[in-house]
Amino acid sequence: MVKILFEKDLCLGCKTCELACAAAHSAAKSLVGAIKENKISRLRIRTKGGKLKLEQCMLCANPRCIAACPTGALSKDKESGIIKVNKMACTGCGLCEDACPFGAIELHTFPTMCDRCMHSGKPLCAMSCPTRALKVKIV
Amino acid sequence: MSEDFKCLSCDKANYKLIEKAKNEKIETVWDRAEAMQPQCGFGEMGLCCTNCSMGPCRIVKVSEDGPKKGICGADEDTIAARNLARSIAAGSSAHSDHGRDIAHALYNAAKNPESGYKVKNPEKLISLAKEWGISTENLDIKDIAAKVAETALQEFGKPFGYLRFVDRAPEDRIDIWKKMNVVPRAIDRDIVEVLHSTHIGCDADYRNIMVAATRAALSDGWGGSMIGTELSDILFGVPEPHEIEANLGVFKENEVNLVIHGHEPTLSEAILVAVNDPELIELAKKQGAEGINLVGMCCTGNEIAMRHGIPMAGNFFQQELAIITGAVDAMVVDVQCIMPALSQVAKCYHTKLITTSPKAKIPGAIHMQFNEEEAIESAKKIVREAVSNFKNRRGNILIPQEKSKGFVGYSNEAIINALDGVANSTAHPMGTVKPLADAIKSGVLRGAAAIVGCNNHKVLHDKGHVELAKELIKNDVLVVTTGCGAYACIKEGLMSKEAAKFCGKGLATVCELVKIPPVLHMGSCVDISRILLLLSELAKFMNVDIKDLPAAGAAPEWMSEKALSIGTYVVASGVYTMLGVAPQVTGSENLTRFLTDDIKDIYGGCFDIEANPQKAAEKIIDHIEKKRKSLNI
Ligand code: SF4
Ligand code: SF4
Ligand code: SF4
Ligand code: SF4
Repeated sequence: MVKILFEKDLCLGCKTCELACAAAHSAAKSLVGAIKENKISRLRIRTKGGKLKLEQCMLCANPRCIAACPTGALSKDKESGIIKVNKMACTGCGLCEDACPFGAIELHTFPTMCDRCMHSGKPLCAMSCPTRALKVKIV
Repeated sequence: MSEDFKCLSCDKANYKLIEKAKNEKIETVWDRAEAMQPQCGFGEMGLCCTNCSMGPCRIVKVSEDGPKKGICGADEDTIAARNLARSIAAGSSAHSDHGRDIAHALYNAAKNPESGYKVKNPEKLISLAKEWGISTENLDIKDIAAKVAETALQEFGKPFGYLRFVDRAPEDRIDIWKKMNVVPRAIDRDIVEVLHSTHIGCDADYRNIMVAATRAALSDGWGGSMIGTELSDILFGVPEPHEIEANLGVFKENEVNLVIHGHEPTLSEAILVAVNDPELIELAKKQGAEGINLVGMCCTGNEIAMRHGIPMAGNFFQQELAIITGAVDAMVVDVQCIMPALSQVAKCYHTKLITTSPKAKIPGAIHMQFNEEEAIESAKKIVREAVSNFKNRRGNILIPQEKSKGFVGYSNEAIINALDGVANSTAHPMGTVKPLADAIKSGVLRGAAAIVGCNNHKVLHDKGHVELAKELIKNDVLVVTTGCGAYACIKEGLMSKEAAKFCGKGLATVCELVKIPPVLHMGSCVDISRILLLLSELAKFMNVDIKDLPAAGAAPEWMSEKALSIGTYVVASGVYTMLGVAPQVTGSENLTRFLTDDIKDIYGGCFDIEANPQKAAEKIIDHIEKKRKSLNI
């Protein structure tokens, strides 16, 4: 399982990670491509009460998103632990979005959350972070 | 409910309108500022460079393996200094281009009767002509005006020598500038030099970058801005004290409300003539209005309030709220500090947003170019557009009750006049700063401080200005103010006769005797050149340099590049200057130390940063007392 650790004190809030994520999920694999293809970032750097906070899927052991889904559209990949979406079953109700305690899901037609960049081999948010505030840990 | 918005602004008129905006789902500056969080730390520290397309480059100081140099090798000091210098150059260019437009208007007044501009103060014109060595013999006012305008325009690009107004500074000051090689030479040249030397692969020494930036800033304060102020006085009159009303309560339900917003008095003066045109007033009446209510916003509002007693509707952070009242029939804008957001807000109401300058168009606004060659005719067209919009008002109107009264219009001439009123004319020469110097020497006044600048979401709206001003006058420090700071102070009642109650004993006595408020409105942001001159006169009179005076500057809510230029020329003129918001330089420890400390040994003035108004006041008072001690007063 690929864990991503967030070191708050290093983060400068530049959002390079968000840009890299959106680019990584575009067919063109570029920022321009992401904008044209309407791809969004799967993690977000926000402030809450003046403090920086990362919104990104934690790959929970007992995912509340799965429990909340009335159509059984979400499942957890056994090997990688990431959450998969069955687009045929998903009705876009947004209950998973509400259920996630980490604010990790964004309903972008379908629930969209971090997939640890399974298609690229490495989590590109962490790779792109200029301050190394995001660190990868394989467990 | 409106109380909830206390955390956004300290102005009650605003709470209701922010609530109205929320209910009507209209986004304001406060919403956008919230959505912008977190703001990028690289930009905040000045550590991002986009000066060439090998970049963008960012210096990462927080992790060990992060890059410490740009791709060209520029380090944090170079990058932060180059960014700062470019902002200062942009600020200087904005003020100076304003000055250039005023000089053109003076030229039009002389050569082009169609323009409608006329010289209102020939004495000031002649005295400036004399100062500049222009012979006035056998010339009529128009010829002198043309010569003065041409000479002023040459200040922008003359190939040799230095700016004429430099000679107005105390001698010691000029010597320091000469030694540092920062004497401003020609306004455009000094700005261009900053852009050149901060190009990739040019100046890499942060101290030398600051030399060029300081020269460009001085060419604003002692050049472009001073030309703007002096020629405006010649054209439109020297400001005199007026009692006026301020805040969003100045709108009138039954009249056409026309807001003039921006900076250059060339437009606002012409609009003022147009709104008094009987034909247009008649047209307003035909539309069902009782008349035309002209009100000002931001610096252009300061200009017409100072000269004509026009109400001051609101400052930078109130521009959207003005439209949200639903009572604004037209907002007419020219240049600087006009939020592009206005166009969206105006679409939610009947308000017409009218842009007038070829330098500033906004998508979604109506562009009606203001032609200075036929200023009055242009202005009438614009006013007609506003008047004809009265009938389109919708029901959702909320004009807040809040408005305050106060005295504005304290040009240096007006201040000296007021002081002469109490001086003993047999014992004292009239028309000098002697009474002011005496009040300071005797200790009745501990000193003076200027509170200037903008609004910024990083500081509670208006609170930075108001709390600092109150704290200072309580301690017998006379406050002068310009720009959006002036709005904050008048709205709080600090320019009214009753404001003496906020003062310490000494200042209260002075206010009562001289019949002035403890916070003096000295005009728009370009009018900070008035403050420079007042300091210079005072220093010369007391036989010292500006740096020796018990005086300070403060910009508690500053945000614009113009403010950076002002701060820099004020510091280089020898003034201790307190900022409420840190400039984007903190990523370079060397540059930060240079601006807040090293620079003191060079110019005698320096920057200080303190967000808390109480603490800022303490530091300013401390500085003033130190200066008194070294003067032995
Ligand atoms: S890229 Fe790194 S520093 Fe920038 S916002 Fe993301 S986690 Fe923070
Ligand atoms: S989406 Fe939220 S609830 Fe679901 S696994 Fe990720 S963090 Fe847990
Ligand atoms: S691992 Fe990939 S999908 Fe997940 S947040 Fe990072 S970039 Fe986005
Ligand atoms: S000028 Fe130097 S630091 Fe700036 S973008 Fe170009 S290479 Fe990078």
